[in-house]
Amino acid sequence: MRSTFAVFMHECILFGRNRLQVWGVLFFIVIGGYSISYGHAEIARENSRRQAVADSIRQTQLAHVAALQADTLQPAGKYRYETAALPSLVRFSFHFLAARKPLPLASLALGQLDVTAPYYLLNAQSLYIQTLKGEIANPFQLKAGNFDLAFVLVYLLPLLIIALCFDVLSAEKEAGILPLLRMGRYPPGSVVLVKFSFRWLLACAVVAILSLAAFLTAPIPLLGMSAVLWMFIVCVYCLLWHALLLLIVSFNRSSALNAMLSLGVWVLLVVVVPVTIQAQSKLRGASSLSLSTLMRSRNMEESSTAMQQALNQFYQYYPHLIPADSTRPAFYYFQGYSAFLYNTDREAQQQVAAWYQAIRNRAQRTERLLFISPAANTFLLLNHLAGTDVQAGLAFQQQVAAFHRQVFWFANNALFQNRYMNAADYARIPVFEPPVMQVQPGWVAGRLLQMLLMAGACVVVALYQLQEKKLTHA
Amino acid sequence: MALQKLYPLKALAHKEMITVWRDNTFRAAAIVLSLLLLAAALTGIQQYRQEAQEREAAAQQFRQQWLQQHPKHPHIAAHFGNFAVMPLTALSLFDQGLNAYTGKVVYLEPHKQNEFSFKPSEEQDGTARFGGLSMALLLQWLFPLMIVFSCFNAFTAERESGNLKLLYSQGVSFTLLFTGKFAGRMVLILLLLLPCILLLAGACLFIPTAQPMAARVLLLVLLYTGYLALCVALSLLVSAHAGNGRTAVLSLLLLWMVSTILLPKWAASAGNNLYPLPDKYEFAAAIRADIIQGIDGHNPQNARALALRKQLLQQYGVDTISKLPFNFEGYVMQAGEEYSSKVYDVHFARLQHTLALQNRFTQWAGIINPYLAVHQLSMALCGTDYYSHLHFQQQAEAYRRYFVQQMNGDMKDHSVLGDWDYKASATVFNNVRPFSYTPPSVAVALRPYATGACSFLIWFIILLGVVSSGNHTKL
Repeated sequence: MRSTFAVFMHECILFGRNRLQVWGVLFFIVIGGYSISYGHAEIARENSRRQAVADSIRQTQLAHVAALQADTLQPAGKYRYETAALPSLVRFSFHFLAARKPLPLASLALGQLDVTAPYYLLNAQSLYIQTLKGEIANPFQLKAGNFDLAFVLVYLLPLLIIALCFDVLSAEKEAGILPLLRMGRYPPGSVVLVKFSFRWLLACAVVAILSLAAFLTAPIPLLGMSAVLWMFIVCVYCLLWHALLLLIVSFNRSSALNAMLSLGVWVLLVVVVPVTIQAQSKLRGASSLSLSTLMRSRNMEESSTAMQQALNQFYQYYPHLIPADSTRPAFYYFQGYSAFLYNTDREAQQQVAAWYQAIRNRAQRTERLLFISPAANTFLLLNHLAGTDVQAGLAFQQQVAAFHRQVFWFANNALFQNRYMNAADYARIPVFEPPVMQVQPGWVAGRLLQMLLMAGACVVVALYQLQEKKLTHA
Repeated sequence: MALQKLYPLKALAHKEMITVWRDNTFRAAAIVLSLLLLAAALTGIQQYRQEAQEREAAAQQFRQQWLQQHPKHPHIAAHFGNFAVMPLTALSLFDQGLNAYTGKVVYLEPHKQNEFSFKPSEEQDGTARFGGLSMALLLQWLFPLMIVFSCFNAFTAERESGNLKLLYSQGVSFTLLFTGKFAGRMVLILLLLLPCILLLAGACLFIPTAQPMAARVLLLVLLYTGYLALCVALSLLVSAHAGNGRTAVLSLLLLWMVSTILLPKWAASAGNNLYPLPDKYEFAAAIRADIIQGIDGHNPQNARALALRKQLLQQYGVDTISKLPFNFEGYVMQAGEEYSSKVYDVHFARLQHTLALQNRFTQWAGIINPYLAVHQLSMALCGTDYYSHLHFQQQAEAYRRYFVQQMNGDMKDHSVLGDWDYKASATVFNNVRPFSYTPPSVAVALRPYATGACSFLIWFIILLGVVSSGNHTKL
């Protein structure tokens, strides 16, 4: 025990004396700091924009409510009143905000946030006309990806670990210390293990410093269960990379060869495997291009027959709205168009659902292969924890679709009752509730277990290699 | 005399080739890279075929929908709209560039200039952020890494074994030794590059395209040969100046990491932070505010429309718009369209300017980082860069204005005032030519990246200077 402590302390002193390694760690912390500020800035920008849009929409909504009190004896007052009271006008002029609300951890792992819409402004027009049209974005920036903490931890942390560990044994050999170690009481294999333990703790400390800085500087400081889980995931990822390095080092080759092999493994696990997994997974059974026509303006065929057909179909879903007498109600034509919108969206819904399902299936197929890529595995775990993965995006879309049904009925309720909108209607303005993203404990545990098993396998082989006999033979 | 001078060079290059070829690390890396290239080529071909067919079929389907629409009022037909589907370039099988991040299709309708929809990246999970498997990715990322691994000890090993002193004592200059090593290694690299060149040539011969691809393919081959030559030269120089193999390999790996991972990502994120894009709501609100001040095509009672009416009445010497020789509503509709187009031009020009400022950061970074220059030039040559997308966007917008004008023209010339029951016939829809895209010439495609191309030349001149001034007593 005393020897272990002595080796550990010796490593601390050696690390302090190795300027290159100290500078490497400091450089990593600086990059991590930049990534934290980048992530926070991105989320702050999204939040402030969402707030600005919400304020603007709220002002418009209040103006509508106020217009109900307008003096209808004056032409201008009558016009104002009608814009707020006529359901045929309100259904398209009154907008609702459906915005996602990133979780506090989102600034650390921005995930797919940049490729999906942060919010939609909805009215009773077709949902897909309002949601399928593209967003303003810089494709070059999207391709470069986010410089967030998840990127730094998944991509760059292994490089820091490689820089700290690649010559743990070879440096001793090249300095001629290995034969002396063999003569001592303490087995060289154990020395290597202690050295690796020190480096793993060092890497975990660096990760903890960065993560804590990120948690504490977040707009809402994060110190809950998700923060603990974040740290745990990253520490397991660190452990896996140390185990891989231990395996490479245990073959007792030269420092240059170790560096090359380590980098080769990094390229394989961080670049080649994720890219190959991505290349093999195709979207099956649905195509986004086939949804293009849903963006079209909804024009009804200009005939009474078409109008009546739309209403008849609509009444099948809502028989209680069938008029009691056969006289045409005041809003007959407007009702016909609303019915037409409802019917077309209902038909389109299946097509869009099939597309979302295809995306979900593709993500699941990819996940099955993730055990061979700890980098992609960790990246998805962090995105899942931060609620920025593809599943979170799909959940938001589903919630938007559900909310649109409330938006549709806000004005159409009065329209099909053949009445004007009133203050009671405006007292029930639907408000969008973003989906609550729940961490799936089983899924997370499964991914972590895969990484721990891989790390365990590497350590077992490395320990076998580090046996006294093997080292002597080498 | 010249041949005599070349003889030692040939011998050195030959010796270098044999040495490198006998190196197990190089052979293993070469085999792995060749297999990856093969996988990337097969994936690229399969993806290209599937995606190109899908896009072609969608474009035809949209055209049929346009032609087969029910007879309707021309302006309502304009609102039925058209779609412009971005075709895949044949060379996207080599470099997918920004394809995953630019939408596939744009909906063309009156009064509005829409953004592109359906970015393939929206359909993918987080693994997509690790990049897409393509031959360009392998050549840009992994070939330089293989070069680092095979070159880092080119001089250090000779020095450590004492061969270097022996060579210098026999009168071999550093420049000659460097050139020999460089030539020997480049021959092997070019051999590895050969399958890519053949595949590109095959694509050039067998894939029918709107514009000849030979020039693009030739430039791609030159670009990558130059890039890899630069990597070899740089690695050899670091090896020559490094005290030992360990220092050389660590320095080169650090250089590789900074140039391929850190700098590109930092440049893009810094551009994004310094010049943020407008929010879609504020962008749309600003456009709407400007359009409201102009002519509302749907409202002939609008102030500007009334002024236009007065002007037309004076011009045609009539007292009421019903006596005009055309439908005033159709005229106002087109006037409104032209006004809104001008507003869109102003706002989109501002947006493009912001995007250009964001991207300029990366373009300037390309001067110090040849990887960035190659990355951008390769995408430009394959027609998968931002400016190729912009070029398509401009043609799609021109088509939107054309077909809306056709519809408004029919309304103006063939319907009467207040007659919204007028229906355009199938002939009117047939007369609207289908959208077809003409890609830019090579010169136009490369123009935005002149800085990157120049950086190549600068790098070669610097390396040439350093090599020719190399002093073997010090090295």
